[in-house]
Amino acid sequence: MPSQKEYAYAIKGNRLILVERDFTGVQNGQTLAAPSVDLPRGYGQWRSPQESVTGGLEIEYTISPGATIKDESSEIPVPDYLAKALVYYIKAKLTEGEKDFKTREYYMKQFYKMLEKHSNAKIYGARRISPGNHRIG
Amino acid sequence: MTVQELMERVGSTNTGLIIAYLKDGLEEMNIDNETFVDSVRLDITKDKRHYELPDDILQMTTIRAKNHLNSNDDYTPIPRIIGKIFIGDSDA
Repeated sequence: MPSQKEYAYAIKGNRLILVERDFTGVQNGQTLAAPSVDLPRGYGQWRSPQESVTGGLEIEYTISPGATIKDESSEIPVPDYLAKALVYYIKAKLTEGEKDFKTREYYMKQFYKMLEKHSNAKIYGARRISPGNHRIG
Repeated sequence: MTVQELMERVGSTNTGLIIAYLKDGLEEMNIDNETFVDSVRLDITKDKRHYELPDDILQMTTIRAKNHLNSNDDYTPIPRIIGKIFIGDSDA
C-alpha cells in the first residue's frame, strides 16, 4: 500500500517549486507512514520530495492554439462565437495603432463581453448564493 | 471561421499583421478563459525541488500530486505555499 504524503508548491519565475512535508524528527523520529502514529496536520517541515514518484505530478494548464494558424486559409481553432469575439480584439488593436483609444476601449469591452457570455453559457443550472452563518435576520 | 473570413469582417488585407494580432488575441482569450486546456505529468525526483514548467503554459488551472493526503494512488490538488520555505537542502 503506498504511503500517504503531503505536498505543496510555489512558483518562482518559470519554475515550479515542489516541497513535501517531512515528518522525520517529529515525535522521536516516527513518520506519518508508521502505523499507530496519528500526527496532526501542520506538523513537520517542508523539504524537497523525500522519494521519487514516476508521473507523480500532474499539471493542468491553458494553452494558446495560435501555432496552428499559418495563412489566410487556416481555420481559426476556436468556436465560431469566439472567432467573432476575436474580430473585436483585432479591430481594437488596429484602432490602437491609429491612436484612437476611445474606439479601442469600445472594441475591447465588446471582446471581453463576448468572452464572458461564452463562458457563462456553458454553466448549467440555477445560480444561487446560500446565506452564510453571518447573515442578518 | 477562416482567417480570410475574419479579415473580411475586420476590413483589412494585411495578412501578416492580422495573423500576429490573431495569435495575440488567442493568448489573451486563454488567459482569462479556459478554452484550450492541456495537461502534463512530471516525474517527482527525490531531493529535487525545482521543476521546469511547460513553455506553452498560459495559466495554470490545477496541480495535483499522487498520494497527496491519500494512500490510494489518487491524484489530488496540492496547496500553494505562501511565504518562504525556510528549510534549505541540496536543491534549494
